[in-house]
Amino acid sequence: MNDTYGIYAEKWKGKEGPFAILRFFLSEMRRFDPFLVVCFFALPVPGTLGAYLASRLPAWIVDTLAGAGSMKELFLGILLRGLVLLVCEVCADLMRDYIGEDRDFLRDYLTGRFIAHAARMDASQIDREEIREAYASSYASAQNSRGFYEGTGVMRIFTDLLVCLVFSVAIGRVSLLLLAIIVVSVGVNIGLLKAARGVHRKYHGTISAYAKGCAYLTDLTMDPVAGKDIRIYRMADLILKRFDENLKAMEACYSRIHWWYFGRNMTSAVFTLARDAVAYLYLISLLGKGSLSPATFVFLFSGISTLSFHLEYVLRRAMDWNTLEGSAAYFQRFLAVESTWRREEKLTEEEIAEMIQKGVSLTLRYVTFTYPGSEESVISHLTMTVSAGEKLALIGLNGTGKTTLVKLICALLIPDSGEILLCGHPREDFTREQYRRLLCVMFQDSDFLPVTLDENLTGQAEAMEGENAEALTRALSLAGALEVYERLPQKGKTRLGRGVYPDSVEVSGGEKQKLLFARTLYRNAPVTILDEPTSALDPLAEYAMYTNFREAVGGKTVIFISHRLASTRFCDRILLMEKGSIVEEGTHETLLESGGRYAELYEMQSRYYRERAEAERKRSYMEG
Amino acid sequence: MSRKELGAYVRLTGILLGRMPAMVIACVLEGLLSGVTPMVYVFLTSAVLDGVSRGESAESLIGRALVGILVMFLIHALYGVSERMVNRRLEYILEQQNRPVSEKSMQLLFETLDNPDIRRERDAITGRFSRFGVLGMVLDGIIHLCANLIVIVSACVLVVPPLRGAAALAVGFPGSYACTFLFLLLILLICIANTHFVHREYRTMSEKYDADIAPLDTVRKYYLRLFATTDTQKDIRVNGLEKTVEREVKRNREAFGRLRKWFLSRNLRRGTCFQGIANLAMILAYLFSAWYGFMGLITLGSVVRFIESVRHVSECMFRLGDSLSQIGYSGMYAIKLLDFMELDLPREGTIPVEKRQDDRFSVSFEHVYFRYPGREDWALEDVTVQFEIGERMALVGRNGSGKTTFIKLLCGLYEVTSGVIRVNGIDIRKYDPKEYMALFGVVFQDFCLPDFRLGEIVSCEEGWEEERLRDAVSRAGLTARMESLHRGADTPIGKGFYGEGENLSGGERQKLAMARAVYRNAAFVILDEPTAALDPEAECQVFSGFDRMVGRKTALYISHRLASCRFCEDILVFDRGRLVQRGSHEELSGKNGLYREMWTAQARYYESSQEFSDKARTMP
Repeated sequence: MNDTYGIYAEKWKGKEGPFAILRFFLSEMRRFDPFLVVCFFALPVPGTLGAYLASRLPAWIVDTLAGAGSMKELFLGILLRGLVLLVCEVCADLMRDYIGEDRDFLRDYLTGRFIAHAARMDASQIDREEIREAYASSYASAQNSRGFYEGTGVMRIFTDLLVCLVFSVAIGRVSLLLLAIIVVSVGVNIGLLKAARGVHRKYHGTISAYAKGCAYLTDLTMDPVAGKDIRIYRMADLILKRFDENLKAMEACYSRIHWWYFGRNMTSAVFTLARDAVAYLYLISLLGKGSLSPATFVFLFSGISTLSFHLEYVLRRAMDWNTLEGSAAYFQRFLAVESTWRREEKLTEEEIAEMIQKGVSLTLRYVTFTYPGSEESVISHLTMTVSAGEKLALIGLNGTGKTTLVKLICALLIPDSGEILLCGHPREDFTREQYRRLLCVMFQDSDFLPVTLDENLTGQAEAMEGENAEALTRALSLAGALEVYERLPQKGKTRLGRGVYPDSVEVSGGEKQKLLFARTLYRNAPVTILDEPTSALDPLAEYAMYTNFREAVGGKTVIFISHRLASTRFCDRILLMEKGSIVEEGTHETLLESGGRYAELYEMQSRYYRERAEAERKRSYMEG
Repeated sequence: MSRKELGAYVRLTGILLGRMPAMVIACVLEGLLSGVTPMVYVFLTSAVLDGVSRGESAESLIGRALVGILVMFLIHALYGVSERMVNRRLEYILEQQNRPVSEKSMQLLFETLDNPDIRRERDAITGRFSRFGVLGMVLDGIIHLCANLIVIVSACVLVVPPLRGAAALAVGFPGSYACTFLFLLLILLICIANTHFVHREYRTMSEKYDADIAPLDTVRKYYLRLFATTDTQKDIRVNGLEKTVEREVKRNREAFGRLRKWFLSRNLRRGTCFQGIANLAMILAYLFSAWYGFMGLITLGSVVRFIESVRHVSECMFRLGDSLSQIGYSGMYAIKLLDFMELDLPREGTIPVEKRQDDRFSVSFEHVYFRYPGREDWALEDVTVQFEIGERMALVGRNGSGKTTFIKLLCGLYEVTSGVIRVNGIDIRKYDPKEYMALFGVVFQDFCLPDFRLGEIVSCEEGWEEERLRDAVSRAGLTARMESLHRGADTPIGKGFYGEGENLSGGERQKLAMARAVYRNAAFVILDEPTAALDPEAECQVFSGFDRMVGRKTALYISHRLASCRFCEDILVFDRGRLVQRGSHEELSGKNGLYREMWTAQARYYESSQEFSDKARTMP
């Protein structure tokens, strides 16, 4: 693997472990909303105070009544304590709400963070082994705030920890044995929960596969594209059978899992029974002996369940730490990845301008590429040169690697070996912007973004004026897309994109292809690659495009990829690709003469047209 | 919560009771038990305290305690049982709900399916908003409602005895039933009012939140999905559109931020009011019970009991309000679910299609007009044509001229807006829809292959006939590929359902779709742009195999590749929704017209002259 580029930035190296993760998590939360972090740390105060006062107050009332104080004392005392309790409860509640309502917004924050960084990275890094997992996990976090949402839950531990502390002290002061029993019973409970969850996790992979299958079918049955075939081919029975199979399998899995949970519940019930029995007996005996006032009895009694409850809560939330740790660690790693494009310019503006003026050549030398995880190389030792201003046709059957080749040329993939040069310069000599200025690609399956048409075509959000507007009109008319543009109700201001905004307009396949070609022409890059640009066009539109082709592309260096061998007629040179390398090369005539593969393919496609033309000629001859 | 919502909720509960009675009963049980649990502690404490104040011996106290603990244990155990019964089905209740919803979706008329409003409603049902879907919400609501009801009942029970005792001692107003009753009423009213306003506010907030966040989330998901793989983002990268993406994402984020601010501030306001008033009610309770205790009207133990029960009443008022609110919210979704399941009464049409051995049917379109729902322009305008089965026909025309629409109408996916389509002289609307559609083996331009096993994709049933499959696959030219798959016809294709299928290229998928059409052995074979994704070699295979593939059946062939019209005796030419020409290739290429124009445009480039090449290459 090519390792000339540094992968991880210094700030991530060496920073591992729970504290670093916690710091990272808190810093992300602070970026999201600083008040949230304040709540994390401030919540314990009113939270604990409130819990403590709430349990103490009844006891205090009982005590005062027993001690025969005056009614005024009683009332004032209640009012005072009650009001403090009110303030505490209100504050605690508000803060808890503030922390708890954020799943959707966290997702949005993480999405923004993810996209901002992913856009800065370069796409070729995504499939690299070291980065792939981090990328996928960060993507998942952005999708559903996985890990980070659990993290906010984990932060709420602090309150409960404090409550536990307070009550442990209070109970421990009366009886350490009691405290020990409570801790043990909670510990057992949590241990059992962990075991049950472990079982759940073991089945998680299988279950989510079934769930995904059901979700797939659910979406399929409502998809209008699938709907035609489903109705005509009567696929309903098959689909429902598969659905039912999955449901049955899920039933079996969950049944097994829940036996575990049931066992856990039963065992915990027994332990609670034992705990309560011992606690009560002990407290009652103390009460009987008179070493405990009724008020303290009440307090301790409720204190036992409060402590158990909060302790269990703390331990449960602590189990979520693992989820947080995993996701946060990956996210941190993701954010540390830096783009492999060079930052400072090596080639000056003048040099670039000169290159553009003189025309840019493209050279590939012994380029080899294998997809990670695959055994066969898709591209092997491919060598080709396109000189400046040349129009090259690239032909090949499906699966020979043409799309991969295009991706290698535009630096979406990095070759395993060999080099790709623009005007003799390798990719490393260019900054990202410079490379883009020089190279533009029209993919077969491109789609428009849900922004205005003008912005889709030009990349500018501001209104088109002056030179730019002229350039756009020119590009549109050369691409044969001017009519489409004018026909739209709001022309350039029409918003495109399917189903994202309510006012989006959908354009047909042919219209889209013409507009995409216009976009490519507008970009005016000296090297342009067109991948099946006429696949959705009808014969007349296709013909128009071929006729205008040379005028449209002017002096650019062009690679034209197509199945329609008609396109080779207006290209200077033809390359035929097979199994990842170039096997034939020449002009249309020389290739036909040599009678190789190209000739074979051309014959296949043209046969019928020529047969018919000949039959017609014969007929008109016969008819005189 | 409106009456309609409550009605829908009750109806749905009734349906559930019919379909899965054990589950509903277990939910009720779980609710009751979980509600009773905290109350038992309260009973226990106050029983012990009462005993103490009565000066009972330690043994009797312990005895009482033990009874209480055993009751707790039993409740705990029973709760475990009912929880298991509920949870193991609840975990996948969403999928269980989606099964009948999916079944219904497949029964809908195609044009209903195509309606984005209906799709949106269905999306709301199938679980975008909650892991448990509508049914889960309903069951959850039942559990909580039962729990809360029991808490209220037991709280009331707790409150009465000490007060009754108090009344016996009372002299004058303060200790009488009336006073206590009035006080309780006061607290109850405060709690109810508090709960009611809070929940109404929450409901309004939730509705606005749901409505506002859905479009924002759609945009968010769209942009996120652009970065899923190298492939999805290639367009952005190569065209330098990152700035645009970032700008749009930022704008969306700002909208999210505004929504959040609004939501949090409303929430804060609501929370403060609620907690404040709830606590004030508690203070009143403390004061009242202290007063009674001070006057000796109730025992000390009862003081605690009284306070605890007021607290519980207040809490369960809130929870009751919560339950009702939840029922209202679930009711809203229940309405959606029930409405969806009751869409579209089945079409009439019961005549069976006549079975003919010679596969000769006659089809006629008589002054057919059609426009898509919601559109004003005609997709087909005054189309009249007649043809016999057993013919080969090509449909040609520019993009958007109505060719695919013609096919869709013929297959019965849409109904004509006006005019009639007849097969064998009978209006196709009168035929039994299932039998009628069985006449067609279609490969649409945007065909869909479900991610099942290869054999099933072709046969569209569970299992397949070996011979028939092999024949269909070979006619489509896919035999070699099928044998290269690691399990042959048993191999899953695509990762959507089985999670570990093999991927086929675009061309191979097209061949598979054709194999499916062949396997069907239907009277009509319709191919819409079947070679669009195929390279020259594969395209040639399809053309040469076409005869084999189609046999004696009627074939309708749509293609831009006019060479494909070779095997078609009859060509229909469409232009902007109208049928403008009909004839054989010889006839049409002899006349001036759209066909000749298109033919010439395509055939030119296959001319074999050198001059032509030179001219093509030096065009300005």
